[in-house]
Amino acid sequence: MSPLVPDNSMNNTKSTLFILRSTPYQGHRALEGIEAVLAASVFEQPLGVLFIGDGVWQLKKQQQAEQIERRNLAALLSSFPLYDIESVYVDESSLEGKHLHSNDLLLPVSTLSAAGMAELVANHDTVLTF
Amino acid sequence: MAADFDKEGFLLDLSAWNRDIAEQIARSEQIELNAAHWEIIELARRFYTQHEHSPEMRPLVKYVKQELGDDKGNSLYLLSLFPDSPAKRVSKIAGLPRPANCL
Repeated sequence: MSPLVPDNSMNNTKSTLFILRSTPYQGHRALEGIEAVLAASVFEQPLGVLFIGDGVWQLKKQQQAEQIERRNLAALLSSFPLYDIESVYVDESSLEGKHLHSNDLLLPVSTLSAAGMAELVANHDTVLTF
Repeated sequence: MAADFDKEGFLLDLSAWNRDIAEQIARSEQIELNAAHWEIIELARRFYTQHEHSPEMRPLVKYVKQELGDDKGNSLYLLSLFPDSPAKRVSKIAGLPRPANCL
């Protein structure tokens, strides 16, 4: 099975794709998105997370959020594996545009082309954007 | 000992936590703390420091499994130490906020 296809093998499942595209510490949208992913994971339905645009900055290692008295998004994101949130994707061109590489990121991710992202979106029942 | 709690019994000021307060909270939950409890309480506090939120059941189980192995990293073991709702009770005794998404 392609990794872009969520595991819908169980009955009564509904897959959700979270698209996280907000810059990490301007406003609270990024935090809301991450909290929504963590909350959704409790229901044990298939879910995927796609970081695009400025959202890829959320994945940058070594965030010093305490200096601006904010909750550290890196601390929250680094718990994804403990929630079995393992379908994490990043838009390849967003990453390149910011001169970031996957080893700058705090989670293991799969990078996707535009076509890969279109397939990912098409394969999920619901798409939520933060 | 004066410590402030919310109406569910969670400690309001996380920095006020110490072992005596943990014992006090545990007693109100009818739990007598021993070394096995403390081991899990310490892990929950470490999870909180690393991830800046209290663990729900699934991540708690996985974290305990990762740190202490399969014998302890399972829900039955955690239920035996902290009956009914282990994630909630561990956080409460460990002086952490209520896990946000505990069902």
